[in-house]
Amino acid sequence: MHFDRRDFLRTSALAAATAVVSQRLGATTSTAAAEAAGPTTTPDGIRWDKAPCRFCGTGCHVRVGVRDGRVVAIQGERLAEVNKGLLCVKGYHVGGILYGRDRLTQPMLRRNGVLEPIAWSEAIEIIAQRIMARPETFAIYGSGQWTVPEGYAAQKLMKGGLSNNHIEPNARLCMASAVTGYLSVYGVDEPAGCYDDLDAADVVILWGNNPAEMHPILFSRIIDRRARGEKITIIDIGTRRTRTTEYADEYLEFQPQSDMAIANGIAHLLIANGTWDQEFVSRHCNFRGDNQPLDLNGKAITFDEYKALVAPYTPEFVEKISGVPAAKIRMLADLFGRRDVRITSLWCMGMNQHTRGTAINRLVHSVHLLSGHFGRPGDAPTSLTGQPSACGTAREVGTMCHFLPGGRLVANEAHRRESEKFWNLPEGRINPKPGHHTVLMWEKFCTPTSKGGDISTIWVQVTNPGQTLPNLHKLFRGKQGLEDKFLIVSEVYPTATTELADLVLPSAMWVEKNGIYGNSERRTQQWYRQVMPPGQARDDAWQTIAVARRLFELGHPGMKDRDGNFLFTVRDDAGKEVPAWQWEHYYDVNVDRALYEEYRQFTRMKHKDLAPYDVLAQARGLRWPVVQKEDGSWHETPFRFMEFSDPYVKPGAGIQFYHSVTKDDRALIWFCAYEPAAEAPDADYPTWLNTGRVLEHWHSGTMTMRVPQLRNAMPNAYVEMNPEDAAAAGLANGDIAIVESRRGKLELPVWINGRATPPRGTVFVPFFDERLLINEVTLGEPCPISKEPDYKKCAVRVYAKGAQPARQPGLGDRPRLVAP
Amino acid sequence: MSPRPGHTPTPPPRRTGWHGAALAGVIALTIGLSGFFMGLRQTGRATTEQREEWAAATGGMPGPGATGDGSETAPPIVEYARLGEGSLHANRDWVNSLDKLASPAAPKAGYAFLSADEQALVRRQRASRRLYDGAPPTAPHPLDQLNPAACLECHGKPTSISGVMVPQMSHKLHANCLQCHVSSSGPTSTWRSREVALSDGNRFQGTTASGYGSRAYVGAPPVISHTTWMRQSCITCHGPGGTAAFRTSHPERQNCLQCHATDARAEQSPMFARASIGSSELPPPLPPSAQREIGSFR
Repeated sequence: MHFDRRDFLRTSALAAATAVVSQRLGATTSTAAAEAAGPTTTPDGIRWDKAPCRFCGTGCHVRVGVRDGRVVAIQGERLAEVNKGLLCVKGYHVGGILYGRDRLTQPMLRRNGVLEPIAWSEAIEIIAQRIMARPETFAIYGSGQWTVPEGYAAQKLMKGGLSNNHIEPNARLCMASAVTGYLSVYGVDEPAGCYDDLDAADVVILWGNNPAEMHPILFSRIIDRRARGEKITIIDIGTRRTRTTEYADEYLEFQPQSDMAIANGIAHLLIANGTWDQEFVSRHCNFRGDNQPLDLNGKAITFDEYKALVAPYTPEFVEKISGVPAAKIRMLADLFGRRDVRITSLWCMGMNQHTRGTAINRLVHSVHLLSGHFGRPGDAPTSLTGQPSACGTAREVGTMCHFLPGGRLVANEAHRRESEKFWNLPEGRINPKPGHHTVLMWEKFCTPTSKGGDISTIWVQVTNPGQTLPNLHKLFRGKQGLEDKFLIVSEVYPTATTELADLVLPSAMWVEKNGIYGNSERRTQQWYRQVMPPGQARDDAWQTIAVARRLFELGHPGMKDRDGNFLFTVRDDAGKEVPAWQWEHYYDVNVDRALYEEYRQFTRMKHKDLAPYDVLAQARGLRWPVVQKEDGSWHETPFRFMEFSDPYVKPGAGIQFYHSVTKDDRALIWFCAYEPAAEAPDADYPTWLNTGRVLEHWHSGTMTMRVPQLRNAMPNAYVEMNPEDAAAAGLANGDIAIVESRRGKLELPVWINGRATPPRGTVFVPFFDERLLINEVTLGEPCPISKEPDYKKCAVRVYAKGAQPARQPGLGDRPRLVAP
Repeated sequence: MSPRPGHTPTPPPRRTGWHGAALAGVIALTIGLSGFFMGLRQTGRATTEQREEWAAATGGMPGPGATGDGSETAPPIVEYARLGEGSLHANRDWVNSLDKLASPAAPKAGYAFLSADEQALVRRQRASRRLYDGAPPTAPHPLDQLNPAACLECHGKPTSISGVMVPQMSHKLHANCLQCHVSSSGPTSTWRSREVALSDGNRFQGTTASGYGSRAYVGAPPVISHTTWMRQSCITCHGPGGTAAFRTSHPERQNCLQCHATDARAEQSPMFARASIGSSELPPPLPPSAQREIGSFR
């Protein structure tokens, strides 16, 4: 690999930065540094301590100001490398989420249609009895907001205790395609790069991404460089003009789904122009194509086959599919063809919530590999995450129906045996058959038992499926009237999900409990409890352990390990067992620490080594693999697979993909053919509906809608329309429009242009508003490999309330291209 | 093209006789109507084009007070009939007219101190725009602008519009203003905030004012009573353009930190964490008499 002077300077600078970090960590035992890292008290009596922000996957750290047992103020944490003291409006207001007036504070059971208060002991008993009666039809549905120990406890209860693999996180709905993308390209999940790439990149390409609103701290990190006089080119490949577009140098507006054609078009030009990085590819890559039916690992193809497959994707052909001018495709390919610029690609839900989500993820990685824009700081394809621990909990702990912790698979016998060993379980305890993935789990729950609905009880923790599942009529509301189905919800506020819940459990949230999150750049972050939860609200991990203990008492054989001990035995420093299942003793020891340390042994197989709890407690997050040096100090790894940073790369290799699918230390360059969207506008439903988020609200708004400053800034959902479309439909600002798809319809106020500007024929609706559930309209069609549904786009018709929908025969009666 | 839509020209008084009045009326009406329709025609261009022009003109980057000179570079004025819809855009006239507004003049000699009630009112108003002291303030106006240049136009320097003080940024420029600052009254002027359910309450009680700026003795310069993180420009709040309750009595002295010290305990700076800092406890309260005396200065 060519290494010029500039590379050297950059790498040295990064190495120096890494050295500083290492020093800081190395010195964690010294009192002075511990003081710097620990809580402080200001003269006004406010105690300040660190915590990661509760919201997105960026993973900023805040300082939480507590006085008289209540959070009273928030600051950006200046010691945090992610945000360096800055926050976004959600982060600054995160303290307010604890104090909404309607906080849930006691367990409630639905009797005759009404939720009535019951005791915790009764609630735990009900859950245990439901499981005892039909253990195989019980399921847990969690999220990327589970802390690592919470997700790990739920995972262990289900797979290690109940031999039941029906456990899923909502991350299936947002990150699964990124996971299958990484797995099929590198053989191991999660990005090789990190946020440091944003400091070194010359070009940042945003693939269907609006970080100015969704990941503002990362976006500011980029544009603030520009404000300091650095040149950085931002290319926004989008379906509508957003706040991000306002800062972009290039805006490439594409037809939804055609991102695949754009990526293939770049690959075609790199080869046609001879500007692909032949040395990098010959040393580090193999080529891959899809099998039919589609699967995770595809089949090997030769370079000549690859060349022939991308050959049809000429700029003109891509223009025809995507609407992006051929000249702009050439511009992209020219950038990738240059060795003297560094290119970072970022994406989030636009590529993941896609009927070919796995494929587009592979293609963007492949463009980087083919052009050699990989392996140097600033040259990286990096997916961003939506939830604070989508990476840490859902992906690393593996709280999915087919995973075991640490990147293991339930279908792999060696992985099961190893997990049983770590858990001290009898051989064969873990069920080899993957459970139901998210959409299937809810479909089975909403299907009568007599018609094959083999899920009877779902326990929901830290998520709001009543709002966030696709096709809600079928996948959530279908539960109504099914007498033998039972929905348990651990929540902090009443939500669309608790509306149908039979049992509601009040949970502690954020700094009301100890916790650990893992962010988008492999950074694991720890925090301590800083205030007490209100009323009878309790930790989710405690709830899981309490149910497990009740099952143990009822004689469920799965709750014992090989030695007859309780599955969640926690001991104090003296080795004495602590009854952690009793709430009054739960904080006698740090249960989080115990669960985390047990989980840590799972993390080494895939070289995702985590730091010891006590080291983590001193840091503002550490990026794995965290490896101990001979002098006893612990060192994080900002850049994976790269020799200058990753201690697991063989000396002299430069770059080594040590979990390669092909077992030869090479990554895979994929070809996946462009395929049209599952549903595209036609004469009856002539408009694209795009969905997404807004800056002020995080996901389903359960928390942010209860903070006055955030709610007042963006009080309800709307439909964003192009002025000409609005005029044609006779709609003005504030008028009520009906947005109708083949699955459902919704009345929404019109906002012409709105926060962003959609092109003609496209409308946008945010999904945060529980009173206006756009997911009753969206499509449930998933990527066949990742099983992640395509929420982002579908065909709708938009008309004024009281008017008749207008057909647009000009669009033709396009057949639906993928069967529903 | 001055007449606005809906503006009916007033017929001149009958002093000049019927014909004169009719003629004047016809002329006025003609001008009014043609102006109205010209106004309608003027902005047939798509919004996206306008933004592109503006972005090209400003290079996508803000510049405080950058009115520019090229008349082509300013975004065209929004169609009159559609002022109430869509996003508003800064335009040349608007930019220019701001400069013509009088900036608040620094008082010649000293400041009129506010009464305790007035001070309390100002502090309450200030607190109403923040979740807690130190939170990024919300804007009491709708936020329609996408480009930070628009924010800087008013907040880049002390400004007064129709007698209302417009606070200047207290920190250095971060290019994405709307990342931290949101509107307290719905997203844009086109939203009818009365028709949407605004927040129904929250029990969070933030610190309303830091208030730990101690004085060594009566008459000593008070220590800075808050962190200076993101509040690097003293003059923003304490200068002549700042809110009356927090204004300095001596704006002519420019080196604030010469006399007013920061408090390392309040700063929580990692730099000072290892230093041996005195007790974290509050200094002993001042005797009531001294407090009264100080009250008029604070």
